[in-house]
Amino acid sequence: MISNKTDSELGRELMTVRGFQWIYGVKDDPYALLLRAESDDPHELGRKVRERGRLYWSSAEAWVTADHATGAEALADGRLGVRPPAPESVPNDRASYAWQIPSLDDVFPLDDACLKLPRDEYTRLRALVEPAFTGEAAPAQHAAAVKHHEQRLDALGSGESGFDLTADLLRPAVTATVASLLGVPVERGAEYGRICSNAAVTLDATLCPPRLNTARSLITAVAECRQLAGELTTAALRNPGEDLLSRVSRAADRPTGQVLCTLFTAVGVEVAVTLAGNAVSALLDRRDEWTKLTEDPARAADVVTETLRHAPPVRMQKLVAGEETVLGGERVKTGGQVVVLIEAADRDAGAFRDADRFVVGRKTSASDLFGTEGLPVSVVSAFARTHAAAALETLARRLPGLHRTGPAVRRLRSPVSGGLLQFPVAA
Amino acid sequence: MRVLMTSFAMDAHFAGSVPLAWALRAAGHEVRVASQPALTGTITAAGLTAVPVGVDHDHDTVLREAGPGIFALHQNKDYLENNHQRLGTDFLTGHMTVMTALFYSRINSDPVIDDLVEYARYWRPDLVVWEPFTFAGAVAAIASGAAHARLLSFPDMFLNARMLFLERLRSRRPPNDDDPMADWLTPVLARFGCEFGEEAVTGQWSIDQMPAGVRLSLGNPLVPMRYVPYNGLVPAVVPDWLRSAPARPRVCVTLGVTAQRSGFPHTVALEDLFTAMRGLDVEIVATMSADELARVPDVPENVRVVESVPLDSLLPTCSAIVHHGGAGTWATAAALGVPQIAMGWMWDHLYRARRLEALGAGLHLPTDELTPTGLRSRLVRLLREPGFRRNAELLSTSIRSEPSPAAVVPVLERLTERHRPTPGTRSRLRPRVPAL
Repeated sequence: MISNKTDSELGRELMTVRGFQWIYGVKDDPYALLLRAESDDPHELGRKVRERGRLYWSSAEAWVTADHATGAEALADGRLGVRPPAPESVPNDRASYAWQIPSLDDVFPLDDACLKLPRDEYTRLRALVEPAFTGEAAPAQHAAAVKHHEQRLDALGSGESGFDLTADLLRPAVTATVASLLGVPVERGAEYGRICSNAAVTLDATLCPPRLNTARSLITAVAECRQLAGELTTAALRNPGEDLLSRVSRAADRPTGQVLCTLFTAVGVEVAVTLAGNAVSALLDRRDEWTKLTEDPARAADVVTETLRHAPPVRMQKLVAGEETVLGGERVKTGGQVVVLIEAADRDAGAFRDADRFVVGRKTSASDLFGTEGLPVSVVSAFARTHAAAALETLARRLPGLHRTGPAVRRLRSPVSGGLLQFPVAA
Repeated sequence: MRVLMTSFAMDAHFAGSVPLAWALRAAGHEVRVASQPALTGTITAAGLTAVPVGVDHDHDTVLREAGPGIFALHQNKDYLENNHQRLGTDFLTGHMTVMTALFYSRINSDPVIDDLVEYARYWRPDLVVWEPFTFAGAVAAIASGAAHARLLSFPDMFLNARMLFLERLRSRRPPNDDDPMADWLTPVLARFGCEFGEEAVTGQWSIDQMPAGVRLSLGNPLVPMRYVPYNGLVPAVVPDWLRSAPARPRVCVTLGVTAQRSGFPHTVALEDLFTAMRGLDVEIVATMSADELARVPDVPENVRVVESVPLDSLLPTCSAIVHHGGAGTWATAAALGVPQIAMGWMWDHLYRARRLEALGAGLHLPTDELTPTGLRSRLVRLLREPGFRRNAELLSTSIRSEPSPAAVVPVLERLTERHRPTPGTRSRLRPRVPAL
């Protein structure tokens, strides 16, 4: 549907949605300001959301929570998911408006990115994927991720003259790891890297309209990804290897393999890059923690766990009510949007003591909200953890003197992932 | 020359272009005025030739949905007072994003631009003169190879903010170098095989009708032009009562035509205006529609209410004017040397009113501070202190010393010749007509 629009039509519609996001924020609506994703401090905005109660109605047309218990309840609620209900079951109470403000989902539906499946699908897929990263196969996956980082670091040399942590190390290493998980032929590595990099904004584009050129690249990337997923799955079934895609396709079916391929490409790579980047960033800002890691690289897994709570690679999750639901004492109508501010909810002092502090090895009974089952990110969460731990461990071992050489720059219009654009460092 | 003038369909924005259009006609040039169909009657009523293009814009509808947010965003003192250097990058980004998304791109819709380009490619204007928000004019000029200029009827605060925004943008690398205007106009121009350049926003030069002291010097090429009032937006007929001198000092009260004719929010309580002037030994002439009048319970005896009156006939008989702060009313009073109380709370109203006060030619009354006492005390000062009249006359003299539209025409001829892509060739081109 999108591809039928001319550039000026699509550009104009994306711009209109963005224009409204700006003006929703004018009255200090904290969720609208989070969507704006400019220079406001997201943690301060998260606190403001919590001050408004367990669930508050934002002028950006969504119920929003930064309360840990309510967030956990919403993410786990079977009536809330990512699949929109059939249009006929959604009450149309906006018909009287002279001009319908376009919704991002109508303007830019991204239907082929596999982000709107029923919860069961994600649960099933996660069950097929997770053993590869948590069971007996885990050490092999870890070793593979370490190898990809080692290779990149070898190419970078001593690192003394400085390099970009994201562009020169994390992104290529993650892309190479995912390529091997999916059995991407070596000769298509560059093509695959381009697809991943153009698809990096997928999660953000579910909540914040991208610029026209970014949107066009994303549409192309999603289409290429779909095509590639078909080819790779066919190859995996015809000539199965030991890669993840072959195993999942054999254990399930071809469509499942295609969804796996799409989710790892469009979501997995960016989530893993951002998680590893956020973890390194947290440690470089706390030199003693970095030193401890260099002395004991086995701490990497705990660093990743705390990063997932303190600076998760997915800061918010949009849900839609498949049927009328009561949440946080409010009635959410069928088709209504609920946004869980994962990052903010994981800094809820009601759930975590000293919630704003970064505490490696934190003892807590609450769990962070990253990767809740039944949602797209859950399929790639175990992979992202494994990969980030491998990245930290390798860096700590190889480049103990790692330090920043300039401020990290995050993408604009990136309220979900806070994607890292530049992360200048030196060894 | 063939000159294509264009303004989006809003009466007040078109009005500023009429005297120049007449001057060009009188000098023998061909002039066409393009706008959405809704403006056709206004254009022809000015004695000009209309070219309706595209479909009517939905600015009023958008304003109903987004207006409160747009105005709230711009209720920023530094913006309104033109202290733009103090503005944060977030504000500038928001300003550019919101204005482009909800104003510029909507009044310059694809059908309008397509039609205008098609017409320009057929009619082959030598020069396109466009109202500063009617970027369709720039696109049509670029796509048809014409020279093009903006025609300013208000202080150029929008471009000032944009230039500052671009300056801030230079420190950002892709894809964070988010320029909403370029993002919008790049694919628009690409449809006609053209590339976006900043000239599509600035014009090759600007014709500026603001007097020195109010005009902003932004360093881009500028042709100053005298502001000549055009009051044909209302029936330009001199009524009987305006054919002899008033018995008492006369004060004009008007809130302009835009609030009456469009979805612009009307924030002045008419009752407060009247209460302020009740009992003053003056004759008030208030322009007011029947609808507005119906909302006033009690009109004081010293008030003459008229549906409309040509301001350039009325103002020379007035000792003062109280108005909403709009560009046309402000400039007409300034040109005729009448001391003003300019209200205003949005866009360039505030800056213009402040400049007026700084020049001693009137007083600013922030709309949200409008009280009967506040207005009455200002009006009494304006009528009693001769300095206001003196300074208003100085302002008028300075406006009259600027080159008239007729004197500007030869300047435009020279600039058009200089900016034509292929000098010396275009004037021989005619619109294509079939040969026998």
